Amino acid sequence: MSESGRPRRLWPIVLLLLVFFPASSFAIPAFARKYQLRCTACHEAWPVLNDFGRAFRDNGYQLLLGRDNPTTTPPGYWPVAFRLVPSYAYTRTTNQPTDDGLKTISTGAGFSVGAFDVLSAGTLGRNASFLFVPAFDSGEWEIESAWVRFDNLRSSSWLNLKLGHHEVDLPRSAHRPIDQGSGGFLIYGYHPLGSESGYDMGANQDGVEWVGHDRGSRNRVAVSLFNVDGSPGSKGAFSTPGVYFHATHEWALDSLAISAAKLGVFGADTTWPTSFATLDGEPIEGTGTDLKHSRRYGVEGHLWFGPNATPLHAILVAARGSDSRDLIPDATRDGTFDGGYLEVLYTPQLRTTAFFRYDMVRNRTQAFEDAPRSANDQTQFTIGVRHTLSFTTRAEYALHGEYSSLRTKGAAAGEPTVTASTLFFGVDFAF
Amino acid sequence: MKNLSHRLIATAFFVLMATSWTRGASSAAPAPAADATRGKVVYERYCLSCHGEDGDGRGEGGDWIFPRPRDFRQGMFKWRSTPSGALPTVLDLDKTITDGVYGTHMPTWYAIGERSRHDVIAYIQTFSPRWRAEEIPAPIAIPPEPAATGDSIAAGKALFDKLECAKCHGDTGRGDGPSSHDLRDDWGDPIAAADLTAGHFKCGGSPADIYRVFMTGLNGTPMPSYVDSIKPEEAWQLVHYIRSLHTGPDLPDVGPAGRPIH
Repeated sequence: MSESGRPRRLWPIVLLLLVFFPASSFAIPAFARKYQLRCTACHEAWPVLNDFGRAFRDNGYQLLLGRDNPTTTPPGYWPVAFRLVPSYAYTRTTNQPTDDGLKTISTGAGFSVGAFDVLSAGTLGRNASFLFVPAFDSGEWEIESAWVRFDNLRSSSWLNLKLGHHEVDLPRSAHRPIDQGSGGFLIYGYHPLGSESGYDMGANQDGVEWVGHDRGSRNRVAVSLFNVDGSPGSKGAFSTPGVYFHATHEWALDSLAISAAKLGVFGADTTWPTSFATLDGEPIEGTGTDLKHSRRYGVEGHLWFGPNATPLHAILVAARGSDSRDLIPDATRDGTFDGGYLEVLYTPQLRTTAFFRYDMVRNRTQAFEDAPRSANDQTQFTIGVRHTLSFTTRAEYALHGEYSSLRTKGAAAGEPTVTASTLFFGVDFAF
Repeated sequence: MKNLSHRLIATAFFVLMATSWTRGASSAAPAPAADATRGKVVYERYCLSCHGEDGDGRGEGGDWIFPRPRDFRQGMFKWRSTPSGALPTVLDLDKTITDGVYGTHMPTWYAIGERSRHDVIAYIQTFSPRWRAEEIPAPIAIPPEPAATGDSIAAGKALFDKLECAKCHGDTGRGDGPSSHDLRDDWGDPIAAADLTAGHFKCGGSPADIYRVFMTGLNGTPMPSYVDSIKPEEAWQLVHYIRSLHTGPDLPDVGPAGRPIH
């Protein structure tokens, strides 16, 4: 962070981290082995879930036909799968600030395995499910997900409770992106210039989630109460509370032109401490105080064109966000912004998916009156294709290529726009 | 210049996809009829791993599933509303696909939508020449169910003994009769006699579903049709007796997605 408190030079590093250590995503062949279903049964284009996959997930990883309890599987069945993406990524960044002025830099990593996931998921008994994901990333292990879910409480599909480290119910999962090399869904993690809040809608949170849904998950609602992940000075147990909600309704139109449509709303109100006791400069757990708010809310729309077995799926998400001025040192007003994304996934045949996403964040009100309104505005497009070479009930592997470009406007008047373009090619496999 | 290139690439991508989609939509005219060509893709996405590329029930998962996935080539289906030996109606197959089959690996495909289900049924009908050679008869008539009473249950028990149901289903209905261990279906695979006390039935748990099984039989299995042996009122008595064998919570429906089953 610069002396003025504005993060002028950190974003290229963040981008590179995102590029070379992309967010892990799910496709769980353990389910395929258990139920003898190929990945195409649950995934529109893996790892993106289709209607059947969403219903399976919402039912607590159950088909509800008497074959879900662990005692119904052969003793040798182990609910574990692995996913890796050996990949090559090349990034060219223009106007990169350096000690010697602005430069164009190029970086690349040759078929490295930046991260891999151990995906353990399934049922602990009837109507009790779990997900445990230790992920190896940047040379270290982390527990990406760890939760238990009590399903169909009081015999109602509207009463499911998840406890633990979980991803909130986003319009498009940050952990199930089709893209691998881009900067992700920009709107999820964006903050106005200088904000100290580290809240990221796409980050997994410690807390409780209630999910309710009807048959086929045509109508569903989810509410998460959590302690904001990464909060300094937090002692957990909701000392830095946040709440997220999401509700959707889907129309199964069964038309040849449009097979389904979905509308939804979502929002989050989270806090972040602005003062805490420190030791050697590090926040002491449990001392975070003076909580200040970040808020996000938005709408989403989905259209599935053509047959739902080979759909063209368009997703539009529009959101608005604000961070309290108290989260931004020296700010004179709240920082607010608009943004969202348009994503299109086209699967003309089961093995191949072309995808495109346009991400955008536009500042509406800068927290600093002297900052240009467009400072730190971000625009990203991602285009790619994914071809699955083989999918079976045991394993799957796919070739994945994409190109993405992220433009970030200068943080101050006169600062140039920085553009980072990334070419990514990898082999995505899970077993 | 960069902005322009971004817009050009995005525009090109959308035009490409819109063109592809329009072509696909126009070739599949918006007629309401099910389409086997579309159904083939649905089949490959959802069904092939168990039922196999040739519809022979020998997909890669077929050897690991009991009971085995249906072999579509004979055009023989257990759960029907049509008389014994006949082909099922489209609605019969749609019911099986929509609700799944409790206790087997056949999931509920409610979520994929009616059009996809009907398209895949049209494709399944290409596996057997029977669908081209035979008419599908009308479903059997199911008269209104009389009230279950102690007398009707006792009469049902007497019929259960008279028809020697216990040979397969056992004296207490637990599916452990003396013949139950040697049962095979018409494909030569072992088959279990239904446990009538479990509280769920593969064919559906409603009284009408159970009645229908008595009158239509289960094609390809040792379970015959009793339409020539018993009268409708006797079939209802059997239904009442069968339902009395389950002493736990209320009989559940065959598991629709999203509903718990006790």
